[in-house]
Formats: sequence, structure tokens, C-alpha cells
Amino acid sequence: MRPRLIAEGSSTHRWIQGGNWTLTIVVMIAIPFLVAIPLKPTLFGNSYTIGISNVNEAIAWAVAVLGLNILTGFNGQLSLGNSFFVGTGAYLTGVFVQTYHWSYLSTLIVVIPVCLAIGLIVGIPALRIQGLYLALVTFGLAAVFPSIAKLEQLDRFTHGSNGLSITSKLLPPSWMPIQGTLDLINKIPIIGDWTGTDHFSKRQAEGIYAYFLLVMIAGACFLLAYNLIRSRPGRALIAIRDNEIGAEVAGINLSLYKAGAFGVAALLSGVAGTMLSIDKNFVSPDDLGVNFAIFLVVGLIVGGSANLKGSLIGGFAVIFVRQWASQTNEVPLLGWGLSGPYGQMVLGVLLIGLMFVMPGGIAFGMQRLRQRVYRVVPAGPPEGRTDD
Amino acid sequence: MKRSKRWLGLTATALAFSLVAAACGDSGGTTDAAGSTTAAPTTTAASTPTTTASSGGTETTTTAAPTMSGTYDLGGGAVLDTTQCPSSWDSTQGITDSEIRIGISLPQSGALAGFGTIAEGMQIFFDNADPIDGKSVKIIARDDGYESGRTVTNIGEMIDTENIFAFSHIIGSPNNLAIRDTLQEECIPQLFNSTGLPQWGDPENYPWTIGQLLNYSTESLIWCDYLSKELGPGGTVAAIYANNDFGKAYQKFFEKCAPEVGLEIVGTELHDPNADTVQNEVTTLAATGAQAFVVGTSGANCPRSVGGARAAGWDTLIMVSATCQNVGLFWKPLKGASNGIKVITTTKDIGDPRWADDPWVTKVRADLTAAGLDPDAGAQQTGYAFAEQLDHVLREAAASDEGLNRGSLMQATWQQDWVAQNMLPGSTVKTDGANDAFIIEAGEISQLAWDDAAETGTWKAVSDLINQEGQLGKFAG
Repeated sequence: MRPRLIAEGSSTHRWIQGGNWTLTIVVMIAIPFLVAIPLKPTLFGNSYTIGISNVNEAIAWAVAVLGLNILTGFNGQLSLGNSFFVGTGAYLTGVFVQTYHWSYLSTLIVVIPVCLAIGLIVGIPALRIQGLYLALVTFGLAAVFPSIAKLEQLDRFTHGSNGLSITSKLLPPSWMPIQGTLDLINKIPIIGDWTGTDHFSKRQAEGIYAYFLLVMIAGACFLLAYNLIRSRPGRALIAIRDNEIGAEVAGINLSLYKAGAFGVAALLSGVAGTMLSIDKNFVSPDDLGVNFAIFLVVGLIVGGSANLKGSLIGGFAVIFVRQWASQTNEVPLLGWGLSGPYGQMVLGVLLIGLMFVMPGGIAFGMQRLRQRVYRVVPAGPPEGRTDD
Repeated sequence: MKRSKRWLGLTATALAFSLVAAACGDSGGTTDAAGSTTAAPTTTAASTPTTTASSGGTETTTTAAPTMSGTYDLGGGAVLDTTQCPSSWDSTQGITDSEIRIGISLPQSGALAGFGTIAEGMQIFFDNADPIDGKSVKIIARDDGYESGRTVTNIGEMIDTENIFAFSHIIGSPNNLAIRDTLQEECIPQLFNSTGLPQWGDPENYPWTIGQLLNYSTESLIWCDYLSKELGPGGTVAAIYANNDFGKAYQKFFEKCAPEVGLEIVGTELHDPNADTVQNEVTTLAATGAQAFVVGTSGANCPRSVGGARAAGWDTLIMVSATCQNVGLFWKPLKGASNGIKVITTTKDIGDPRWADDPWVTKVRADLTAAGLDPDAGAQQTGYAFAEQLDHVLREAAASDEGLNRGSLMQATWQQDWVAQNMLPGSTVKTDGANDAFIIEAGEISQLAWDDAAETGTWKAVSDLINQEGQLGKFAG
């Protein structure tokens, strides 16, 4: 089947774009209400959960993957140390909320400049180190973070290896129409049944409120990244990735842009850390170590490198694939059951399989699928106009 | 087109700001139980859960209606007050016509995945036990990979979808700390945390949470007691601790009790828990020539410390942390060098020939074998032993006047006095609220006997039971 060609800017194209946006917004508003009480689809005898806590965590991860995407995907600097920046953001938020009683969002005033500065500082030595060596150096950052968080001198703030409980909670403001929206969704046939309740508990309402805050923060981060990539500095970043010498010859200041990419990546990662603190109300040093850093890279590759939508998909993939892998106790067709600690194995098989089916990541795979249905092509010259 | 875009942008920004403003207002405004100060009280009125209505000068506060009698005396002045529970709280939630549903979150993946089969062992215990009130006990397990963030998610989802009556035996100190406030607020029991943190013995502030394992302070006390008897007055001790909360808990309590029993600490070293070697620290300690060497660390640093002491030719009595009990994991690599090291054991090791005819050990082996498992491999035997504790409090609560509910369960948990079959003879399980907030408080010293021919070692008891029952009180900060 030949794909349908659609001219850019034509009314069909505008309809598709408008439809996409409307659908995205409706789904984004509806999601928290549908999963505040987790959905439990069953497949081949395995029960999987989709809950608001996972969704919130995935949104935070998407921003962390976005940071890595700017650095590795668009700028070509392989970093295995972004968990360091996420951890810094998470702890700064935790400490300022718990010890100094700041509000969660106001801690961004500290998190953003501090992470940006750390990123720039890390970016300076990175100018002289490339490729695998850079990966190794940044990996050191990831490995050292838990030890820093456990330092005795910081114990008063970080509470050491036991982790930092944040007792302050985000309560939804009274004007927020959580109940009203729930009533509205409940009236919709079929979909209304998915909410599973006609009244949310306090904890569930908190989850919903956190969701909308996180979506807004993530939205701002993605908008920033989108504008960056389409601007002159963004093109410079991509040029450096594709041909460093060529980029320098073209007049691009390598030091500035490479260090800058680290700074922006660290900034976004730090914000992701804040988002994780908002979601979990808890920060633990051992959660933010090497494992975290590696799963960020997994998210980047699975979602799609150098692709903004890929970051979003990557964040969700890391959280949900990991969770669902561990909830898989029965493997279809094989006829034998898995129980207990086989989640990691399922995860590994899934990742290998995915790379065969969608080698460029899920975002590119979806793009290819779409292009089989229709393609958007640049519009020709307006009809009825001649050059004479 | 441009114009409408700008309006759209402005509206979106305005909406965003209003949400942000609300967030800034009330996150600091809601406080923890300790009543920390509020940072931004200006907009809290709309969002705080208690509503105050002043009519004719009187102030009424709406709170959740108690579903049962309300308060439970846990002992020692600790009280469980269920009147503060959420309005939708139900003290018998999770008890169905046929099941009592218990949740557990534990690592089934990652470095500690070996513990993942504990839940399976617990279920095997209950499958072979008599029903409680005609109901079977169902263990619902979730994998958290030992990541506390995932424990938080698991707990939330289990509360919402799995109809959980109580949580039990969740593994890991940070993991349990991460969920303690939520379960406290939701009034759901968090029983028998599988970690040795002394914080779990705090019924006055956290009546819904209790630990089970021998805690690090108790272990230090038993070390002091044993070493003072072995070495006599003026005995010299050198110690190495991991430089983290775990190691420093040992240090704090050992340094307190050692002078009291007449031991002299002649050397103390802290090591970086993530370092590759502890050779420098151990060599320094070996130079003191102390009569005993206390190893307050864990993981690979246990055999490293012992190997280092042996290599330095230091002929000393070596006492290792109870976390380093696993022979296959820690002591096989050292072979004969591990001969003679000592550890505190609290439960019957089902592989120990001493207990071959013990009814409990026979039953564990039979039930695990019947389930198609090798009783000596895996962590199912640990889970099986854990379940005995849970089983007891469920039955006690079911036998109480009120019958089984969350309140009576916590009262039964904080008011225990019985003998567990999986524990060493002579030890008792006693709790009395804030007077006695710890469960396992007795152990015996075992010595590793290395068998060169079999290339393995077994622990042999070298002391009588050292019982600290009731002497530990509660967590004192």
C-alpha cells in the first residue's frame, strides 16, 4: 500500500495536527483520573498494574532522559553520569523542603542554578576527553554519588544511607476540580467504569495533583528543549555531533557549546530529581547510583536517541517495562511458569527483542509506521499563480 | 493565527502560574506529626483537611469517625489511636470471607534478588497451617529491586488494588523508612520489618510499625557480654566499622557498653563502605595486638577484614556481624583462614546437625520438600521462619475480644509473650509497647568450624544463650 501524501500546511495536515493535539490534551487530563486507582489489565494469566505513582515517576524519568538526550543524542557526548545531577536535584529539593521548610517548587530556584553550574564544571574537563573515555569519567560521577550523599558531614541534611523522608506533602488546592472532573468522567460510558470509584482518597487526590504539576514542569522542560534544538545553538550542537572539525571550521565555539550541553543536560536532570522528590517524598542514596545511570541510557536508546518524543517514550518505557517484567510470572507458549526473581530476565529479552524490531528506538519505529499510512511533504507553490 | 497562538500561550501561562502558586502555598503548609513550622501559611486555609467553623464562638473540628472502640493500649504509655485514621478507613479491610491478605515488597530482581523467595517461603508456611478464623492467609508480593522508590509505588498500588489487611516483613532499612509515614497516616500495620534498625522500636511515635530482627544495638550488647566473660576484666578489643549508619550503629552501642563491662577499646577504624580494600585499617588494628577483633561491617568487607587480620599474623578472637553469617557467600573464599571466627546466631539453622531431630526443623524440611524445593538452598526457609511470627500475632488478634482487626493486630503485636519454635531454645518473644519494643533479643555465640575435606564450614555453638530480653526498652533516638 502506498502511503497517502499530505502537503504541509494543507487543511488535511492542519486537521491531523489539530486532532493530535486535542487527543493529547484530552488523554493527558483523563489519565490521572483513570489510573489514580491503578488499572490491572491481565494478559496470559499475568496481572499488570498501571498506577498514578508509576505515571508520575515516568514523567520525571522522561525529563531525566531528555537531559541525557540533549547531551548524548543531540550533542554526541556519551554520558553515564547523569544520575549524579538527578541525585543532586532530588537531594537539594529534599533538604530544602524537609530542613528549611521551603515549598517543593520554590526549591527549583536553587536546583536549577546549582545543577547548571555543576554541569558546566563537569563539562570543562569533558572538552578534552571524548567517546568511551568520557563515558568512563562520567560513570565515575554516577558511582561516587551515593557515597557523597552518605558523607558523615552531610548526615544532618541527608540522613545517610537510610535515606531522607520528606514529611511535607503537596495537597491539592480546594479550587482544583478533582471531584467534578471525576464525576464528569464517570458519566462517560465504558471509560467511566475505569475510574473504579466515585470519590478519591486523600492520597489518591495528592497523586493527581502531583501529576498535573509534574506535567507542567515536564511541559516547560520539553518546550525549552524543543526551542533549543530548533535554534542556532541547537543546530550547532548537532553539527558538533556530526562532524566536530567541520563544525569548528564553520565557526562554532566548541568549548562553549560542549560545556553548555553539559550544563543544560545537568539542569534538566536536576529538575527531574526535584520531580522525583515531589512524587516519592523520599530520597535514598542507593536508588541514585550506577543502576539509575544505566537505566537512563536504556531509556534514551529504547525511546529514540536525538528525538524529543523518544525521551518521553523512554521515560515511560524504563518505568513500565521494568515493572511489568517483574510482574510477569507466566510465560505464554513455553508452558512453564516463572515465579519470583525472573523479572530481570524478562526485561533483558524484551530489550533485545525491541532493538531487533525497532533499531532506532520506539519513537523512530512509530514514525516509520506512520509513514506507511501517510507522509507529510512540503507544499508546492500555491496553485493559480504564475511567475510572469 | 499568530494572535490566537499568543492568547493560547498567555492562557496556558496563567493557568500554570495559578497551579504553581497553589503548590508554593500549601506544600510547606501541611506538616508532619511532629508539627514542624509552616513556611507559607498564607494559602493553607483552603487546603488543610481539618475545617474549622466558628459559630457563636465555638470551634468544631471535623475528624474521621472511629469505626471501633478507637484507642488501644500498647503498653508502657504507647497508645494506638484509630480515631485519627482516614474517614474511609476500615479496620477489617483485607479480611475477606476466605482470606486474610498480607502484602510484602521485596527484591526479586537486582543484586539482592536472592531474598525474593522469602515471600514464597511465607506462603508455604501458611499453606501448611490451620486456617485462622476459617480463613487462609494469602501473601501478595511485589518486586522492588531493593529500590526504596519502587517500594513506595508498590505499597500505594497494593493499598489501592490488592485489598491489603497488613504489610509484613518488607526488606531494607530505607525501603521501610520510605513507607513508614504513609502507612502511619493510612493506619495500616507495617509488621516485622526485616532490618535491624533500632528505629523500629518506637511505638509512641510509630505505633503501626515494628521490626523483628536482632537489632544492631542488641548485637553490640551481646558482644560486650560475651567478650567480657571470655577475656576477663581489662580485656583489650580493636574494632573496624563500616563508615555508614549501619557500622556507626554498632560503634555507638559497642563503645557505650564496653567500658561498662570492663573492656578496653585499644583501636577503632572506620572504613569506606565502597572501598575495594580494608587492608590499611586492619593492619593498623593488628598493630595494637588486641585480644579481640570486632568486625562491624557487612558484605565482602567481612572476609576482607578477617583475611587481613590472619595475613598480618594477628592471633585474636574475631567476632563478626550477624549479617556475615552465610558460610557459602562469605567464608568459603577464605577457607581455613575463617576457622574459629565467631558470630551471634538467633535462630535454628536447619542445616545444623544439632537440630536434625528438632520438630520445627523437621517440619520446615518436610514442607519445603513437599513444595518441590531444596530446603537447604534459597531463602524460602527464612520466609518460612518469618511466617511463624506473623502467624502468631494473627491468631492472638483473632482470639481477642474484638476478633481480628488492624487495631487488635497491633495490640497483639506490641503485647507478645510466647516461645517461637524457630528461635533458639531458651529465648522468648516478648514485647510490651514502649517498655520492651524489640522482638529478638537473645542469641548464642557460634564458632565456625572449617572442614578442609568437605571445603565448607559449619557454625557450632560455643556459648549458652545470652538473653537481653526486656533490657533494651525502646528506640531512644
